[in-house]
Parts: sequence; structure tokens; C-alpha cells
Amino acid sequence: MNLETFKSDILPIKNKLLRVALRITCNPQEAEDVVQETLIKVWEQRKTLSGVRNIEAWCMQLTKNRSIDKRRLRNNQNEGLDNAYGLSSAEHTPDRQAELSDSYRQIQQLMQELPDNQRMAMQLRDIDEFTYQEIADTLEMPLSQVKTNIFRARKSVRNKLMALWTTN
Amino acid sequence: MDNQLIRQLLDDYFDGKTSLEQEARLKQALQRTDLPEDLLGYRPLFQYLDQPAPAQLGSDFDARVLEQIQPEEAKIRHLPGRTWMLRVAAAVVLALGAFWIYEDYQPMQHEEVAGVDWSKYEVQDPKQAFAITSSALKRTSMELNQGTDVAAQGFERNLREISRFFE
Repeated sequence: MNLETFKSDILPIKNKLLRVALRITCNPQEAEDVVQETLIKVWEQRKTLSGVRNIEAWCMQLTKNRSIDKRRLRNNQNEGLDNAYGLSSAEHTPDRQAELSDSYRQIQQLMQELPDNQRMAMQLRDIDEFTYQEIADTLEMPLSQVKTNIFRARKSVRNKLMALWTTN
Repeated sequence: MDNQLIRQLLDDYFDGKTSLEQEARLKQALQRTDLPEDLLGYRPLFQYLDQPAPAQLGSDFDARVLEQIQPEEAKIRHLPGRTWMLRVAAAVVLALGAFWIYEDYQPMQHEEVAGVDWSKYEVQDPKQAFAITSSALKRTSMELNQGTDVAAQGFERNLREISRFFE
């Protein structure tokens, strides 16, 4: 891989990597750092990448692993989530923002209660609109397992929502 | 999208049977404020899932990465304005230099040619012309290592024929 190939093939996937990093770190600055570190590592290891069939998938996996490491160091569950997802957008009125905040926090709580792989698979699919194959590549799991995780995550969220309606 | 279709899509969604396109349509449909009660409860979930994309990484980010991996390349790319001006300046200097050398050289050539009266050196006598030419060709033949006799004989034959025109 030369510099031109790096610019044309690797740099353009940075925003996809950012979504993966953000999904795990929940912190925009950390996510950006992870993506930068990932791309630099790709360049440093360029001479050994001839055996890698799918470089994009390899980058996703690297991003995921680095993000998990960052998160373990920081051990932060919720900080920065509002900023990451535009909750404080100026387009919303204060009341609307409050309403959205309550809804977001409620759903966020339901999502946090899911096992990691189920939550990640569902978020990558339903929020970031990854294909099943992209999710499989990123999370390093078979396609069938991706579909199973998404099915279980959605069912669990639905059941919890219905339980909330009953309570309310 | 009518409510019955929304309910069907919702069931398919929770069964994991929907495509990305169908899921996008479902998100959009569940943003409506006039939904029936049984569907309203799903609105918060699909509002949560319909989050705006995070801020995109742009060319500033690319520049930072490139600076890390290839500092020299990054510096060159960071100075597009200056290199453009340098290129123009270099081209102008080269052009001026070439023009100056050309002007400096041309007059000398003209002077050398203009200063010589070639008519003084014209050979009038055909026999003298033959002798001079033959001698020159013999020298040439020797240097080409082709044998003076063969070359001279050949040229002498040709020159004899030419000299007949002067007679």
C-alpha cells in the first residue's frame, strides 16, 4: 500500500469507523482519537496487509477493539451521549428538548440493559444503518449470530416497553 | 403509509425480517403525531433510533493523520499557495535565463559569419577542387578505417565525371 492508495481507499472510511467508535466510547473526542490511532496503525502495518482480504472489515475490528480498551480505561457509561447525538440541537425548543431527553434516557436505559453484543448489533443496524455483513465484520461474529443478536435485542426492548406501558 | 401497514412492518421488524429500506420507512412513519394509541407507544423507541448522524470527520482530520504518517508530504500539501508561486517564479527565471543565453549567443554567430568573405576561398580551378576534395576524402577514409585506396578510387571515379562539366 502506498500513500495514494491509503488516501483513496482507507481515509474515506473514517466516518464509518467513527460511528463504531462512538457506539462504544459514547464520547466524540475519544471516538475521534480512536479513529486517528486506527488509521495510523493501518499505515504502520501496511507492508503486512497483503494477506488481509477485507481491509475495511479489518479496520472496523481494530476500531472496535481500541474503543473497548478506551472505554475500559475510562469506564464511562453515559457522559457525552447528549452531545454525540445532537440532543442539544438549537432546532428544539426547551420543552421539546426536555421531552426528548426523557424519552432518550428511558430508551437508553433499556438499551444499556441489553448484553453488549446484542446492544452493539442493534445500534449498528438500527441507528447507523450497517448491513448485516458489515456488522458481522465489525463485531467479528458469523452472519447468523448477528441476526440472532438483533432479533433478541429487539424482542427484549419490545417486552420492556410493554412492561413500561403497563406500569404507567 | 396506512396504520395497518405500519403494524405489519412493526411485527416484521421485531421478528428481524425487515430490510434497511423498510426500517427507514418504519422510522419515518412512526414520527407522525396522528398515530393510533397502540402505535404511539413505539414512537420514543424509533425517535431514539432515528438519531442524527454524528459530526463528520473532514479534511482537517485527514491533514492531521497525514502529518503523523508522512510529515514531509503533509508539509508540502499544507503549502499549496506558496508552491504555486514558487513554480511560477522558477518558470519565469528559467525563461529569462534561456532568453538571455540565446540573445547573448546569437550576435556572436552573426558576427563570425558576417566577418568572413567566403568568396576569397572559392576554388575556381576544377583540378584544384578535385585535388582538395580527394585529399579530404582520403583522410576521412583513413579515419573510418575502410582503406584509403578503395575510398579514393571510388571517389576519384566520381569526381572525374563531375570535373568533365568544368571542361
